[in-house]
Amino acid sequence: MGVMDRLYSFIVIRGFKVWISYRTQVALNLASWSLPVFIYYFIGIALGPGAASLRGSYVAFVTVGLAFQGYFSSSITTLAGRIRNEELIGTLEYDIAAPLNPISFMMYSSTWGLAINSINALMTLLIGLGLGVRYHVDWISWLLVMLLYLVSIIGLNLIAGATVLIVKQGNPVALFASVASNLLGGTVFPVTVLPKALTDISYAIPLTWALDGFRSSMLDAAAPVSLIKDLVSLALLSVIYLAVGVYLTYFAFSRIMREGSVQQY
Amino acid sequence: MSVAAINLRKRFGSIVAIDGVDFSAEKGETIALVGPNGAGKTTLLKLMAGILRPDEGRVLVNGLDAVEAKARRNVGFMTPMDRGVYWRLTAMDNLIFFGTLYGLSIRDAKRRAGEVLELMGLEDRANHRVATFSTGMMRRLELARALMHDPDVLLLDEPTSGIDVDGRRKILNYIRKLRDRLVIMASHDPQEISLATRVLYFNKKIVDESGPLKIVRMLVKGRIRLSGDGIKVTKINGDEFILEMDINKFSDLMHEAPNYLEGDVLDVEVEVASEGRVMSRRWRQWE
Ligand SMILES: Nc1ncnc2c1ncn2[C@@H]1O[C@H](COP(=O)(O)OP(=O)(O)OP(=O)(O)O)[C@@H](O)[C@H]1O
Ligand SMILES: [Mg+2]
Repeated sequence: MGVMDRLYSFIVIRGFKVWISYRTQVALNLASWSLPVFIYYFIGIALGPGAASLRGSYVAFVTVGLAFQGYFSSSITTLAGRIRNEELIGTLEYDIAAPLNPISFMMYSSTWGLAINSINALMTLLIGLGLGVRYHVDWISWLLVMLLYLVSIIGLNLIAGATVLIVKQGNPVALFASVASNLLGGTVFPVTVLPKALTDISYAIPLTWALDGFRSSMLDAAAPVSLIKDLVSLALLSVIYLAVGVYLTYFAFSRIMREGSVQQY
Repeated sequence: MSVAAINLRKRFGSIVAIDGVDFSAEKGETIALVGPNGAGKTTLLKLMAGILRPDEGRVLVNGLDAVEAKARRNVGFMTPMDRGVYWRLTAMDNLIFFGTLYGLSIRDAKRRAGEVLELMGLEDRANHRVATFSTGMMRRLELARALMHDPDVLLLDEPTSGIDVDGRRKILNYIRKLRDRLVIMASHDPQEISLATRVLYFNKKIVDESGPLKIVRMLVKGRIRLSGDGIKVTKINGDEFILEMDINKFSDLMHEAPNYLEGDVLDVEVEVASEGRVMSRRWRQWE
């Protein structure tokens, strides 16, 4: 009870309707989702057959990478950006006056980022299809990877949201997410080509394991048992990210409620 | 249903905003917090709404600590801030969103939003974006939001400031009818204050509390009915009268006095005495 109604409120009203009211931003979002696929498609062609050793084709490798990295990079900026904005505008104070605890509030708030990035993911996968990517999906594997990945994304969302409430300016977590997804997470090239130190760091990022899992489950129809390493690593990181996120969220909210800075400029 | 503050203290850096407040209020009361700018009235309301945490002491709402999510379920809160609603959304969508935060279903929220928008005289603008609203309309919408979940406890910060005469009368009439609730409002406005069953003079702490009130003088211009117990009417000249009566509560001023006034009352000037304090009030528009 109540949960579906609130999800509707957070996703459709506070998420979609506000998003769609910024026409230009909508256009930019759509462009920024589709363009990279084409860019890397041509890079793949330029690189020639050498790049094709990756999962059969570089386009397939990149398509799956780009489709799912969005949750990691942009859902964070979506949530943290909105929260910070609402703190400045003043609506956050009224959100907090409602009988939701901070964790539920932030989790509900992150649903819009997840929803919009699902559109992004679907669009990217369809463009990939148009560019010749053939998917061989093991749905159970895919679902497991997706679930664990989403838990880590929610954790990361909490961390990012809490961080902007604490530091008030800029969003260091967005920088981390951007570096992680563009450089370290294996979105457009495999992490194994990185220097050893960076490869090691990349293993602490859920995106790395998730993308490997997505590629195996969507391109090679890999069964869950063969993904055990990805799944276990992802589960472990998800728990850590979520725990840190929950802790930081409590910390951030108790701080703004003490300082009375909920609507401070 | 009740609100209680126990040894409440709150400071912001070096500024002491609340300096030891003890008080309790029950269902049926309408309490006016009156005090100078910066007295801490808004701060006190925020502490009661659970969105600000005290440094010391606590606030209990229906026996629960105000900072607990559950305590906030029956509390409606508004401050006179025109940016507390989503400007990019319509009035209706704003109310539905906040309604569901308080546990209403989408359908109930829609129905209730219709009611409160009508109450606030905003029904024509229900589907307009808030960004297109005037200041007073925004204020009405914020009041509507506070009423969405039909709360037992209403914490209102200058609820009708910026609202036009007709709207104000309608809203104050509605608040007056909330006799089975607890209303606590911070106010600088005589008309709002006149609704109160109890007035707290506030400056970082409760400085004084209104006891039984006594009208010493009420100058009425207009037609009046010369009847009623315990009322002394003196005709000065033409349509000017002086009424003297005892009332127990500030709100009686609004409730009782109209019994003696009828027809086209032009102007009412009242002096209210409470424990040595004399305040004058003047209403140009008496209803
Ligand atoms: N978040 C905050 N950070 C720092 N100081 C604050 C904060 N909120 C309030 N104050 C200070 O606390 C004191 C009380 O402020 P408050 O807004 O409660 O007064 P008020 O009685 O509502 O005044 P007014 O009649 O002007 O609305 C003021 O000195 C104010 O500057
Ligand atoms: Mg104030």
